[in-house]
Amino acid sequence: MLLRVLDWILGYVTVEFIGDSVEQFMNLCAVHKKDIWDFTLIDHAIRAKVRLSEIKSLRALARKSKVRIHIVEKHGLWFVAKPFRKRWGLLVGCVFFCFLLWFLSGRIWYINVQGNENINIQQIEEILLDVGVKQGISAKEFDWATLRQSILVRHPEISWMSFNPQGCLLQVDISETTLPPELISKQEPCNLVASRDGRIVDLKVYTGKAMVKNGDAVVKGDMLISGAVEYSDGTTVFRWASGEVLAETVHKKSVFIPFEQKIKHKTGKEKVKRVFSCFGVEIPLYLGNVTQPYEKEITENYLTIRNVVLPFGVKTVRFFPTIETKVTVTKEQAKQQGVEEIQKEIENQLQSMQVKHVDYTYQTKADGVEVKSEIFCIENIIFCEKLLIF
Amino acid sequence: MKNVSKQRSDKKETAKLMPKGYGYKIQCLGGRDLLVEGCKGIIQYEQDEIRLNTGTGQISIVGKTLSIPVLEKNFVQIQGCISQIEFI
Repeated sequence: MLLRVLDWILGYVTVEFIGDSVEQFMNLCAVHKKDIWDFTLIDHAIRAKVRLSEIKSLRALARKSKVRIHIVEKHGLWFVAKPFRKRWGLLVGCVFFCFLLWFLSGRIWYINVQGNENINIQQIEEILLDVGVKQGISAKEFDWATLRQSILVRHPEISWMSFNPQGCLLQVDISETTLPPELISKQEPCNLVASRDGRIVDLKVYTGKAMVKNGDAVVKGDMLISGAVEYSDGTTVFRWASGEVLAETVHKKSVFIPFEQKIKHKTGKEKVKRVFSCFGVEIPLYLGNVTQPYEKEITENYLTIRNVVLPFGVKTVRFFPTIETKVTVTKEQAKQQGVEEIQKEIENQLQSMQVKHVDYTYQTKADGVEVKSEIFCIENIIFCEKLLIF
Repeated sequence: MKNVSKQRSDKKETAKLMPKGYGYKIQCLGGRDLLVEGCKGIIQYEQDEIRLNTGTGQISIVGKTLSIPVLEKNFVQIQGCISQIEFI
């Protein structure tokens, strides 16, 4: 196959030899080591394939053996390119294409990061950008080992990393550091005070002296565990107080739900706009803009070869136009909505504490309902306050 | 073409092994290919018969649709439906 390609590049012609002493001519070709092959007998002549460069020298041998040479077919790159020899634009285009192919193939166009769990991709991209690693860089310009070392020194959250450039793909493997828990200095004496109002339900003292007991009601700022410990001999030692104080606390939240509400919903229509992405440059394949309010969905389809994403692709954006309509809700519906909103807030904001129960009260106004809630929780209310010694 | 280059290298190897005093060597591969080493040239080329000069005599190869893919000094490859080889 490779030899055939080479033949095509160098060029060859199919010729016919006509004459009485064709055998003599063939022998002469063999003796003179001419590049000629595939002799076949046609009705009136012998047909063979000759390298383009041998044609002239072959004619001399043909004259000697009184054989006429007739070119039947021409094959090869030279004959394909010959009709275009005056079209300089094509030649320049071909040269430019080859140059572009050579230039672009030596660059990184896709960076694939693997192994990260807590550090997100955007953070890693910023880290790489700081050291100059981005799309379009030449892989040969970088000393990857030094670069890796400098990143590891600057970012202790990364324990190990490796750069593996594979053609246009840069594979970045990362291993994250498991950071030790932050140590609190136990050298400085401190008291533990209440961070909010509540009634103590469980008290555990690890270091220091308890100033309250189970069932006591405390307000914000009350001392719970003192760092000043008095011994029976009258001496006082200032220590770093530690412990756990669980208390029943109350959180208050309220929301107002109006009777007149604006609800946004899709019209059912859909507009699809596509953008061609090439080496990070986005070329819109559409005209005009979507003017009315909309919700959008974006899907990206990039060309891949053996799981390697190429920097060519089409980004499809689906616009769903929306309209706002006024809806009047009943008092009961407003109450229900208020409860649901408060429950969402509890789920989002009060995750660290145990919610015992929630009391709701409703206050109907002219334009809506105000839903107030009292959330009874059990939480650790300690707050470390530095002990000032004069 | 790949076969040809292989045959060329094989030819050098077999030339070393060929005992002195024998002018040529014929290899017939499955009745489709015939390799003749040490031949001095072609005497006659017809569709159904090729005659080769061996220096000491002639070899007549009879068959159908005979062609010569490779022709070099002292080496000929003949392809086709070979039915008869005659030493004259």
